[in-house]
Amino acid sequence: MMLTVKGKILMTVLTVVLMFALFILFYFPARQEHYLLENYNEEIENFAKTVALGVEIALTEQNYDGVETAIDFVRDDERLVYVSLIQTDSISAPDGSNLMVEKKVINSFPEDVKVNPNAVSSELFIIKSAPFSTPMMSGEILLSFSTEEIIKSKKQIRLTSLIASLVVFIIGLLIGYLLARNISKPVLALRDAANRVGEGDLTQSVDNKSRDEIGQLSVAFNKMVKDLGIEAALERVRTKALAMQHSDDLPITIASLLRELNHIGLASEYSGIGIINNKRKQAEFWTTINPEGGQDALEKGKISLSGHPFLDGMLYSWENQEPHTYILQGDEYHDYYQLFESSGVKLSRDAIKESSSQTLQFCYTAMFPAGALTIFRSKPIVETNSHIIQRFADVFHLAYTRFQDLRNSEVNVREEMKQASLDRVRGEIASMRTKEDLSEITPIVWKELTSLGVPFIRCGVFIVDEVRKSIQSYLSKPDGSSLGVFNLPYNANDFSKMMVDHWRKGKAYQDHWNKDQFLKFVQSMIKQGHIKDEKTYQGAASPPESLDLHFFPFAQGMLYVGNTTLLEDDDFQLVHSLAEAFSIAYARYEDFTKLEQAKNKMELTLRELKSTQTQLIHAEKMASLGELTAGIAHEIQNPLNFVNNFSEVSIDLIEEMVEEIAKGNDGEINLITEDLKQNLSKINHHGKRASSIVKGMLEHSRTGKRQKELADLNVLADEYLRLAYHGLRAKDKTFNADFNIELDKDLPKVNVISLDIGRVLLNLINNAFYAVSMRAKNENNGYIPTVMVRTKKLKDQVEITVKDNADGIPPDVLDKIFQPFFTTKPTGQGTGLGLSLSYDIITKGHGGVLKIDTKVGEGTEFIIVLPE
Amino acid sequence: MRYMRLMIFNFVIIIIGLFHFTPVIAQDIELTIIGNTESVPDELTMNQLKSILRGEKLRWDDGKGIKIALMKTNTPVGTGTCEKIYDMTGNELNKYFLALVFQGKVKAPTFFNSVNELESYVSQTPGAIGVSHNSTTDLIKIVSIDGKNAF
Repeated sequence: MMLTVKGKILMTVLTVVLMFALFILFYFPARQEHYLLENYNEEIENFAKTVALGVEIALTEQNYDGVETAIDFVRDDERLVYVSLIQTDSISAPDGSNLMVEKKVINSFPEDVKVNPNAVSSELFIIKSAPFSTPMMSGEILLSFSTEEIIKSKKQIRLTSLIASLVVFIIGLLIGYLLARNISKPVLALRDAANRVGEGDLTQSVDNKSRDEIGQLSVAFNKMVKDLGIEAALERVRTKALAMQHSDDLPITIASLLRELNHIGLASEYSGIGIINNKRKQAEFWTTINPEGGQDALEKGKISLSGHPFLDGMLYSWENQEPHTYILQGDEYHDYYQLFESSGVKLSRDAIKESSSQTLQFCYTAMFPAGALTIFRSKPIVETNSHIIQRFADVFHLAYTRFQDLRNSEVNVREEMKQASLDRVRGEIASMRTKEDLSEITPIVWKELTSLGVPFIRCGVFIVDEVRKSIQSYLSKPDGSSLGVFNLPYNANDFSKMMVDHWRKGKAYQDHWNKDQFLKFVQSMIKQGHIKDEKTYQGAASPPESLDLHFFPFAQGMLYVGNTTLLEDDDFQLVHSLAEAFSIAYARYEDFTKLEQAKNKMELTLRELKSTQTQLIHAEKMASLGELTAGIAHEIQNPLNFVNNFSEVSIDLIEEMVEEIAKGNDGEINLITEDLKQNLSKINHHGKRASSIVKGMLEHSRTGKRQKELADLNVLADEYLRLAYHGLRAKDKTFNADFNIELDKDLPKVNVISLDIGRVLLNLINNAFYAVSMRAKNENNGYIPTVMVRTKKLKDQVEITVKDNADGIPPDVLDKIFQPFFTTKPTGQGTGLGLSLSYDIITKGHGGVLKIDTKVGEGTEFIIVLPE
Repeated sequence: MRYMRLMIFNFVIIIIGLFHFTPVIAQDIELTIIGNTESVPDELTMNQLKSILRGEKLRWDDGKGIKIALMKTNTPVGTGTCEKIYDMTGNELNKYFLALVFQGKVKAPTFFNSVNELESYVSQTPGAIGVSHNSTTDLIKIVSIDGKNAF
């Protein structure tokens, strides 16, 4: 069973009371009886002694006053049973051995009582004796008192004890109950309050004015709840601060802060937050006309922090980050509220009129780095509360920091949005190619103004054409779609004149139209045939009652935004940025248009160039073919010579064989036949060789892709060296040069396009022969023009070098020799594409390397490295 | 030697004391009954006197309480009083009155060391009667016993 505090206290008190009652009931009477009996005995003994003393005095001094008084006193006592005067004498024992005391009753009161001189006390009687001794006689006074009185007293004591214990028990019970109630009631109140606090109700307070521990506990509890309430209030403000999603939410946090301060009894009307601009000595503030009114009760304004002692002191304290305490009264009070009102704040009551010389307002301002939290109260603000206000100020500082972060973030986001929007504008406009595309300008502007959050109901773009003195107008319908494009002459109306005038000055232009002015403009547009009817321009909606027109200049014209109210500064700047971006985009559109035209021209030129290049390449081929032709002719001539010679010899042999047949000389016939066979075989061989040369020549002139195939580079090198040499010899009979060839027998076959590699070799060898021949023409001092072709196997690569001993290539020429159309040959002798093509064939076509090793005055070596 | 001298000194003192305190014989002393001027009669018989002094009579005729004044029994007058009036020794007298006091029957007499004190007490205490010797003061009355002022 669980006992409540009340039960426990009651039980404890009852136990104590019960024990005390039992004590009273048993121990106390027992002790009382004991003391009573003791006192009674002592009293009787004292009586006896007093009487004995009196007797002694009476018998020695013959003064009976004492004994009379004593005996009178004893005699008058109702408890007295008897008082006896006993004479004691020492007598010899009957056997004479010892002295013995003999007691003899001399007199007694009452007279008739029988007294035993040796009597002792019993339950019924208390007997006390007191000796006396005089010269006349010795004896003792024997007193006997009844115990009846004691018994009565004992009963009385027990009855009294019983009643007392009952009374004690009842009083104890009552006290216990009251005590339990007094203790349990506040304890239960504390418990209930604590439970409610646990459930989140921090308005709980325990009313206990007692100064005992429970009272102290109540005070501590109330303080704790108050502290908790303050902490919770601070936490709520903190939560509000953290919950801010937009910088616009700052007033919500301020309202929350002021409401929380009001809940804990600190804020009042006109308490508020100020953000201080030290440079301008000014504060932007939010105050409340009703702390419970939330955001709706907030008033925002700006106030100068100079010219009023309270505000001067506040600024000074803020600079030192110290709290500021001030009492507004009299004229200062009046002046402050006048300043307050002039800052644009609506006063909920006429604070100025209400002020009097007796009006007092206690102001406490807690500082935070960005500003101050000011509390106005009719009572002084105690130190504890000032600490609380400072804590709220500190929490608000966090909120303000978050606000700044949010604002910066929003600025960034807005900037990003703006940039994105501007990029879209640029993109959209840049994508425009035709004048028809320009009709989409207004929907684009409409869309981006919407995405930027600029308030507007109409928009448009005016492109000013200074050459034609007209304004190309792109206007929107109320639904955002394009109204179309129309041209307004400069002098079409006052509006167009003003617009052009401002555009020329690069100034924004603002105007305000009422409904009639709007309709007048619409009518003029209809009249000029730009729109069909009013509905076309104003849409299904009725014409605007009020229209603020904003024109933002840009290089090519004006961007128009129409709204029911004037645009805020931020929006104004935003649209201005949009106009600038539009300008750039539009300029790019214009540039693009020009570029497009230039591009078309360029493309045409390029096509022509390509055609020319193709022709040049073909010419280069033909040139090289031409160079080959002589060699080829020489090469073909040889087999043809053989064919001719062997055919002629064969004819002679046939004639001779005919003769021998006629002679019937079979032996000669057989020999002749054998020779014929050999000659025909030679003719066939050289015929095929000629055919092969022709085939190669055809392949050289053929265009289009060719497949790589394994080729013997030694054969290619040898063949093209000879072709080149004989070709040059054929063209120029004076040409003469030595040429050597060193072929690596271990050179593997390499997967190449033979014709291309042959073309490269021909080109390099021709150049080498050309260079040595040029040097030979200039030098007569024993110079032997020599061209050397060498093949070599490298690791996983093959190398072909074409080396000459000409003049070498100067450095300024060396950088350009692979450039297309670069040539050092006289005009008409070279296309300038040979080395360029060779480079491409080796590097791009075969993944190889074409290097040059040259020394001026010594010669040049072209090195071809091809992967194996 | 010193002890001897002390013994001699004591002896001399005892001798001087014996001569000096030689008691007056009680039978020889004339007793005079004196009384306060109020309530106490001028005359009484011996029996009346004895009855009064033994505490048998507690009030005078006018109702006033009787107060007895006696010389202490160790004085000649007291001794004489015991013998002549009470017919008791001093101790007996004491026991007698002690017994009466115990019983609460009588108020014990007031005992004096000198006659002057006694007479002064009697003269100042209404209803007081005492036993004196050769009283001469006018402040008290002499109560004649059986017609005699002294016996």
